[in-house]
Amino acid sequence: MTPDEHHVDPQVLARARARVLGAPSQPAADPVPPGLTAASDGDRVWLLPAWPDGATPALLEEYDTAPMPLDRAGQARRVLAAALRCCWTRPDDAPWPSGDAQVTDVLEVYAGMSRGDADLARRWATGELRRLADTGWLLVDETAGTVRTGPRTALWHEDTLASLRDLLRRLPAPPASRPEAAAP
Amino acid sequence: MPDDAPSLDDALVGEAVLGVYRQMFAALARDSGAVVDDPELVDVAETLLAAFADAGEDGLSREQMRYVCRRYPTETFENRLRVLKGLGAVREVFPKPNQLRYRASFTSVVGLMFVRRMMLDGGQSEMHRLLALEQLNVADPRMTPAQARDGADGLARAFRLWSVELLTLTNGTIEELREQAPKLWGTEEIMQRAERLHGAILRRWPQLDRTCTDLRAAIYAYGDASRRAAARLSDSAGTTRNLTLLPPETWRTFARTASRDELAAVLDAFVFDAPAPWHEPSAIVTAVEDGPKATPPRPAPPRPATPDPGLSADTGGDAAATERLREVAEQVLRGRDRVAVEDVLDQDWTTARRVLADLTSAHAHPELPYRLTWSDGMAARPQGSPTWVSPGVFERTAP
Amino acid sequence: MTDLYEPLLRPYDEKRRAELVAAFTAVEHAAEPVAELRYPALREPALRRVLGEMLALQGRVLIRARPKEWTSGYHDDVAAALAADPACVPPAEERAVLALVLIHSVAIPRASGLLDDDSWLSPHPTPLEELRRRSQLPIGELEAALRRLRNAGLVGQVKAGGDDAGGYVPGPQFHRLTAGARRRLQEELILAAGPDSPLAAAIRARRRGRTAPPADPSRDRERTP
Repeated sequence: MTPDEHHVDPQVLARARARVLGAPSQPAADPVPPGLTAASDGDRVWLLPAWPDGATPALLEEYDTAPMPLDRAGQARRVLAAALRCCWTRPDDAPWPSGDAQVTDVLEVYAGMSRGDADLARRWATGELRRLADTGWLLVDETAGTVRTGPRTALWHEDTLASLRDLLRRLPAPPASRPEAAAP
Repeated sequence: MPDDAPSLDDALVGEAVLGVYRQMFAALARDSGAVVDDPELVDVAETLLAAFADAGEDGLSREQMRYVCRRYPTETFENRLRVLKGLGAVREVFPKPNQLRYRASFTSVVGLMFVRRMMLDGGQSEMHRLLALEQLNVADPRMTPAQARDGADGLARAFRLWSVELLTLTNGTIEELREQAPKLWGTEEIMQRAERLHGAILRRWPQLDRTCTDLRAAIYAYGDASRRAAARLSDSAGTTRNLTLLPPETWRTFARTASRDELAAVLDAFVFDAPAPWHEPSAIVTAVEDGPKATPPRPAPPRPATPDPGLSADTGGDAAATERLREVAEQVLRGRDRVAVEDVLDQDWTTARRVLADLTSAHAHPELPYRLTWSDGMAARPQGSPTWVSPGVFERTAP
Repeated sequence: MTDLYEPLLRPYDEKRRAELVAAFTAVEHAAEPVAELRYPALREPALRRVLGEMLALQGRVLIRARPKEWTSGYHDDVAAALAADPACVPPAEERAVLALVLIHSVAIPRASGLLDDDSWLSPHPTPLEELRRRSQLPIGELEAALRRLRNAGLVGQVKAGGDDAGGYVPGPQFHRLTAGARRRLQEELILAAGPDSPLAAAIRARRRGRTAPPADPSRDRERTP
């Protein structure tokens, strides 16, 4: 069964490929196959699904249908909130694309939000940052120690963001963003 | 196999052969004239033979035999002993005058081992053994052409009978084929052994070419029947059912010995979705607001003024247990009216399971105003992982 | 941006349209197959056909996972084309662990007569000990591979409890394999574990017979996108 015998439409294939890879990126100058949402930061463009009538997976909730299981969903979302607090610095704008924030700042904000051992909280948060980066919610540059919003945040609808913006304004600010000596 | 040239008195030989037959199948005999009609009767024989093996050269007394067979009714035991004695599987000996002991025949045990093996794999391993033995025989300088011909004829008959049985199955129901085929069809190894044997016989005794042609035809017929059975199964509907066609041991051996790359190759033509969890903005807000707080938790909220009908302090344990459940529930709710179970369980599993058990009890408690509800689609699995917990809500019911 | 689905959705009134979108979202994102009962677009054959066309735009097909329950997965031809690209196939260390979980949780229980449903999901966990001690996988990569497989829903973790030692089972993504893919998975496992078996010979013969002529005679083709 060689694939080309079945003449899969290349546009269809490109959409399926984007789902298999999560949120693949390509140089911003490359053509984006139709039927995908393109999230560009100027240099690169990330290929994301385009859902009918903009329906996000959040629709499942209205039908009491369970989404794919996610370990420690609460923790993942709190770390995402901490990261957004640091890199989405102008909440009145769209979350994507954002500027860079220090990973250490995100860890501090998260530790400030959690109860108990702050070191432990930072360690948990580091793991979550990686998972959030793997799934396109954040872009983490581990060598530079920076983080910014991920292309998947471009899928949020403007009209669902009010409460999140409100939350971010209430969250404690990151420590004055001076370069930290110690990396995590 | 008896030699073609009768060098012994025929009657004697006949009696000796029958004696071996009788002993071999004594364990399966219902009486001296028929095979058992109840598998338990074979178990009695096996129990006895095992006891004889342990007893050593002293053999067993009648009482000892009865004792090892104590879980069978007396009548069954007596009947078995009579048949086994009648067929020569168990013999009476008199080590001392007036002392009656019993000994067992080696042949019967071998016969039983053979039978058990046949039941397990329908003769696959017997066939392997026979082929290996014949291969040795063919190389033996004492082997006569007549013996070689008998051996080859016997194998050809076995292969033909196997083919017939396989073909019959292949034309029957798929379920029966799936169940029986692994005992009957030939692996490539058996086919190769058979062909090697055929070649060896033909090289040493070219005059046996007709016998060898027969043997080869039988081997081919068997190979063909095996392929047909396998083809029908591989075409059959069902997307995991054929996994049963390899024995568990084969699977286990592969899993334990295969290299990483051999294992990975199984899935190298499969694609799966990348993980793409969805974080709705409102879910992020909820996670932060409902998450553990750096600030000490709010003081315990005023207890809902639920009536405590009929429960007084002196009901002891029950009241204390109820109170404990109420405390757990209130700790979980922390002043709210409802909380997502998912977030409550967002901690180490031992604790999470204990909490879940308590919430379930609180829900079931007729006097406590709490309800635990699971959304449809996934069953609540307290034994499972938090990963699999379906969205559920623990809430205060209207007083 | 022109909406990819507009031509398919345009003929329907608001209610029908919402039903189609809800069913699409459900089969594409839910962990488990979803019940017809809850999604009218899955219940009505005409709407179900439209749903199939919407999925086909993504290279996907509707899969009836259980009676009256549906999910979606990659069309066989699309999956084959994607699998030709190494970037689209999980890395070897993850595939190896996943193959072991399939053997211990499905193949062995199946061969021992412990499974009834013809499914790649299983209630029999593969103990971590088995993976750690009795396989040839380098221990260093095992934990990381399991973590990634869990995140992707390719394995699920069953925690120890009661008599159960706990371990890993195939995850919800295995609902999303088409009948063709599930059959192929069975064949690949048999070819790997019992290459000498008559069944493996039959599988090889059938594949040779299928690739030689250009026409594909398989009976269970689903709609091509």
